[in-house]
Amino acid sequence: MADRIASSLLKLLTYIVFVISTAVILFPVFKGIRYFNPTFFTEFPSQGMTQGGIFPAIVGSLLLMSLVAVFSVPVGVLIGVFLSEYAKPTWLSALLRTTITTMTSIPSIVYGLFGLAFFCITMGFGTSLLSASFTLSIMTVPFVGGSVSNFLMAVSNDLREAAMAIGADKRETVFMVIRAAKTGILSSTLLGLGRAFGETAPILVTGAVFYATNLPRRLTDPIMTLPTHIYAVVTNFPEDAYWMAYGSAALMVIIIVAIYSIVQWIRRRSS
Amino acid sequence: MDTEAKLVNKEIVYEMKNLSAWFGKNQVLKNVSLKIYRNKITAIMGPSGCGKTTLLRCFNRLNDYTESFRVEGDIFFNGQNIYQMDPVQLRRRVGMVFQRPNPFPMSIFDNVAYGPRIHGLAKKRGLSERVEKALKAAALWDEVHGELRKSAYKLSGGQQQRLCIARAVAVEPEVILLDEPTSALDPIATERIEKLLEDLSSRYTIVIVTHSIGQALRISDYLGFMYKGELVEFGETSQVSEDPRHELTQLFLTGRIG
Amino acid sequence: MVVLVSICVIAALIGIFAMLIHESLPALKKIGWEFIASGAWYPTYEDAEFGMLYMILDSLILVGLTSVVVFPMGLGIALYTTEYANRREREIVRSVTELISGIPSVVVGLIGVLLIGPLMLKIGAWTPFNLLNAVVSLTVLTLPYAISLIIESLQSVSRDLREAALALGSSKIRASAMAIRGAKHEMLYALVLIVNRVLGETMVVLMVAGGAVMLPRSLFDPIRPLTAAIASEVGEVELGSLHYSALFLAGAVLLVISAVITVTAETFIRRGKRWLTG
Repeated sequence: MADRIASSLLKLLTYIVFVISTAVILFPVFKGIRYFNPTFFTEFPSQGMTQGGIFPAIVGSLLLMSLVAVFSVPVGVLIGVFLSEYAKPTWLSALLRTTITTMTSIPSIVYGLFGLAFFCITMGFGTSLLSASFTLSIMTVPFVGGSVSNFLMAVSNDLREAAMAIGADKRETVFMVIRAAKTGILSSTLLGLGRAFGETAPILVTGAVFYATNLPRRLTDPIMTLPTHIYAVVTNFPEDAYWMAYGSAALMVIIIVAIYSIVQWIRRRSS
Repeated sequence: MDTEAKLVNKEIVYEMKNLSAWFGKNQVLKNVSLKIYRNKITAIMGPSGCGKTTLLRCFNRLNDYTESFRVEGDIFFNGQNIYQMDPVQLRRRVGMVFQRPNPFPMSIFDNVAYGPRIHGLAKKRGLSERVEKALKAAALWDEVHGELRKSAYKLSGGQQQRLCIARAVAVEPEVILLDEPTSALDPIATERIEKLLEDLSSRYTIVIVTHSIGQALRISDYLGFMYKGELVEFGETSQVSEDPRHELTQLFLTGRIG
Repeated sequence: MVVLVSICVIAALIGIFAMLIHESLPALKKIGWEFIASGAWYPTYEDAEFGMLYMILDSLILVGLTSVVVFPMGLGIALYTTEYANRREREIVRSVTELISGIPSVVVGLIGVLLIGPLMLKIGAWTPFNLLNAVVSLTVLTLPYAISLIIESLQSVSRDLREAALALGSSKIRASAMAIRGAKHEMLYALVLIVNRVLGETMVVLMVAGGAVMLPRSLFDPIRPLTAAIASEVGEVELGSLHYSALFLAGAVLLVISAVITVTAETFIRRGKRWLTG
């Protein structure tokens, strides 16, 4: 029957695509994992990036992510709460929502340009950890805010009414809704940070150097990061440095898989 | 029996005078006037869409949150105009139980303790006693006392609804409003809740909206019948059911309409 | 308070626009409309030229080709997942799709350079970094996103529609077609989102598209989409120079395009369902 043909074709397509995609994604992991050893993680790169390790890149990414988390998680969550629970006239809420969605769709290099002009030059922070974290934060806040507000709006109104009916004021009611959506809020945060972790273009322009000989000492120092390291090695360094890119890529993929697995686990646990 | 004297002696908890309400251009309540008497069960019945739920939600001003809602007329709670009161304060004295059980995403204990906690009604020790008392009043204590930390969502539908009643009772309101509380439940659970309401009415004033004539006749002291936004009839249940003044009421009671 | 926060949010977006436009004004004044009319991009020459036309077209061609590949593939897989797959298959598709969608674009770029590049040479391309490589790499990057979007839009169609079709005795294929028809607004929205995503993609194209400012005559020709041009040149450019400003102008172009696409999608497609179906 035609149905069976269609079903088989689609099944074939799906399986083929999945096998190829997974293989392709695992390619850098397999090629890079063999370089995982304590030296790789604790030493600076040397000999023109052909030996040593990616220690400064790891530190750089870690510092960057910590700052981005500090700046964008509270602000993002608050914006999400605001959008869902406080922005009342429907035209206002639609306007804000469109603004936030627009901001999440802006190409990352445009954020890079903005960060360059605003944080590096106008504010005078230069090519630095600070500029890069501010730029990434501006990218992450709309994402987290939009996602959080979606989860909050998905909470049934019955719950809000139950709280109001028992005499809870606005603030207490909002806390109740947040409670009900706490899994979604947490996953929005983790996914937002995961996304920021993988971003390259904005920090290429606002904060990164390709070859660091020491760790950043101040917020205004530039940093090496894992994603910019991969880019740098593949485009600016000779073939015998490629192993480092594989290593960094493997590390990044493993971290991302870990974050997403945690998110999926949290989701499963709550239902 | 002197009905006039009987009426004068009872305490009036709510008085509604010429209340009309609109959702946008659509008028849903037309000039409704009634009185709710203390420690009695008042039932409002009527076919779907007659406005009974809207009426009930006026008592605790829950309709205020719908953008297009507009109201004319007065409602007095213990003599005070509720539209000149802080709605949050009003709802601390008037509780509500909804059609579908809506427990909070917390443990059984925390659900019942929520009201007292936010109203600052009890310190740690007093709280456990309050919760126990409320759960007993809602006839749920025996079933859950060993597992108060369990999530409320793990209870059955009937149990969740009794939990919602316990939650409302825990703050010791004067009035409990119930919006078709048993329509989502099976007959056995329904019967338990009806018996519960009869027990509760000795301490609380109960206003219940229902589309089940049987339920209204079984448990109420006062009965109101609504049709297309108008309060067609209102009075003591015995009188309304045996000798209705209005033809529509009779038709509804005998199942000809609605 | 509501007003204050709202203003801050909108001000942030306006701020981004403002900054970009401000920095691109010098170029706009000096170059005029030539930037869209001409494809000659020679920013570093003595007699510098700043025509972005070819780069814009390169972006559009890339987006077009990638969408043509990704959307049908995504639709096929989404259909299989929602209509035919069993529970376990569905869960695996969901989890794996989500995991792959989180892979950073720079890693996909790495794959494009080190895995797909050599493949290109093997199949006869004269350079490993070309349009085809970009399309393939972008497909790997965007397919998971497309799959989850389309699954979401298919699921938004009420079961009733499908079941009504099946009850009338139609085959599963027809029922699926009915589901697609019912979801056509959501799918259009999904398509627009995918287009926007691909348009804004920087790292992958930077690494594998080749970098030649020209219109491709074959799949094996290298191209330079706008995003890649900006990213590759902004590191070398002299601050405050005309070239610098021209790059901001390019950024402004991208910003405007993506904003227009998003706003159109939000206002007309997402909420337009009411307008169009009455």
